Amino acid sequence: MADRFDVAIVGAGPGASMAAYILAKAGLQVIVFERGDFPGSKAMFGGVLYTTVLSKFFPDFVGQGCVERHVVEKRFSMLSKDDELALSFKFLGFEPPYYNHSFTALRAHFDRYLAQQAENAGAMFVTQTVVDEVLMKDGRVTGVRARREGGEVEANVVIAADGANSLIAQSAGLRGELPLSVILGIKEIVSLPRAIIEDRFSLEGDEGAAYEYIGGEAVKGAMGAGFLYTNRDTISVGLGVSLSALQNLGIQPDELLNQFKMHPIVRRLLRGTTPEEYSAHLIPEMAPQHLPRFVGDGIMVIGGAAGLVNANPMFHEGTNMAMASGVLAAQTIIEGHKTGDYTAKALSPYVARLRQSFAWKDYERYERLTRMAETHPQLFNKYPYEFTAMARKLFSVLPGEDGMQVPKRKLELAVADHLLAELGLMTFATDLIDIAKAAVM
Amino acid sequence: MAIDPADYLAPPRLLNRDDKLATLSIKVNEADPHLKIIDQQVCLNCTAKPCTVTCPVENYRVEDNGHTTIYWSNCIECGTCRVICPFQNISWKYPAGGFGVSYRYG
Repeated sequence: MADRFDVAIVGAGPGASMAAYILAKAGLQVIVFERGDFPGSKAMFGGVLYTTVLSKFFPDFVGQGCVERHVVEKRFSMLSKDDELALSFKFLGFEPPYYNHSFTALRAHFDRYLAQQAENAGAMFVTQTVVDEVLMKDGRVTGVRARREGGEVEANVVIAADGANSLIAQSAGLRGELPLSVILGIKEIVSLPRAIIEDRFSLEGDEGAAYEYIGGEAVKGAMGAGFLYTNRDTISVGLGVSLSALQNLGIQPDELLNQFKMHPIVRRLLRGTTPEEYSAHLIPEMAPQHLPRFVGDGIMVIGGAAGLVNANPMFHEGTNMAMASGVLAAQTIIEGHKTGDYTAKALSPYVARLRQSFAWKDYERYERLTRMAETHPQLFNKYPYEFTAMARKLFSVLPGEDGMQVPKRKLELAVADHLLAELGLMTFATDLIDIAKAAVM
Repeated sequence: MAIDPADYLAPPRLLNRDDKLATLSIKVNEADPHLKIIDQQVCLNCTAKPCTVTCPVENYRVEDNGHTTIYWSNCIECGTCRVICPFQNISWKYPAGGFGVSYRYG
């Protein structure tokens, strides 16, 4: 292989392959390093893939086997020990082929598909190869050092696309250690015949469902959430819990997942399933001060390596932000290629464009909500339990002392009493204000 | 094909840690432990030992002599231990290319 490239990309996830595709199309010499057997073989996400950016470049991705089902239901739930309080949004009015640009997917399939597109466009993929660090000369990144014979590869620009742990961004001095706000995602893929999945989740054809379980009994009150996503003939069932919450919880993550699966509400949805694969990965949720610098001399950082995630359980986005950042990085490099200037200053339009895009705007907005949630543990360890308890009180049908039935007015008062006694009006009002503040600021 | 209700109404199958690991293809490079404890004394002085309750495959165990052992060959490369160690006492790198976990679904 040539030992000099225009661009060397570390990692072959969705952001990397998107960048590689655009760069190769523009005639640049691109090399992509993947440490696994194939792109996607080390990757894991929840996951639902949002395909606005993808469909712009690969309009026929549906039907290529790279995604599973298009999501037609988003359901948000709070679990107590025996009860569930849930809110569901079902949307059947979106048109094919992209519907609402929300598809369940499996990374070992999706990443492989996207990498293949980039390879077809002329990018060179090197698998089974770890890149440990960047090459530096006079404070400038000049290439990468792969862990193999003759592994030094020079490049005008290195793209760090090596995901949450990004040792590359770290080796280039663009960031310090990861904070404990990062989330551990653990998941099982469990199999079930597709007809049963469709019947159980009320789906037709390739429709899919995305169920989120926020705080409460799903994660034993920790700051985190559980999820169930329907694939074609499997279900992705898992949890995401911040590392700081996980260490306080003191329950082994794999055991926590089993407890979630055996919750009486969740168990009913998973009847007859057989575990096919266990997996775990970090989700790089962090405050702005922990993010890496997105550019340095001769280097750019994209996707999870750049901390671009929206970990809010309402949305759970990231791979789309990675693809967007890959596109913007590639476009900036192509412009810089004309002048041959790859200094941080020359690459900085990437940062400006990123900040104008949804990827940064959504990160910034929902990261603020996450920071607020961090200081309000009651959102996870109290509200889900108390709200379900209040629902239980309101909907209890009780025999009355008169031999008939307790009138509703008495139930309503019991709910109000519960709110006052268990939550406290002031605390509740203050929390609402804090949430509103974090949401609108 | 007729569906037998008994096939899909049984409780979900649960896997313990070992059986969860057994669902995975992990190629071990015996010659190259990619995770190491830098200074065992630091672990002996660590009271919290968060590595032992956060590793998703329970690879960190405290032995009878109080030493912490990493069962690194079962590592699925998530990076949790690297971040959670309060003393940055774990030398952490990826397994060499072609080794480690390989997901079929992901």
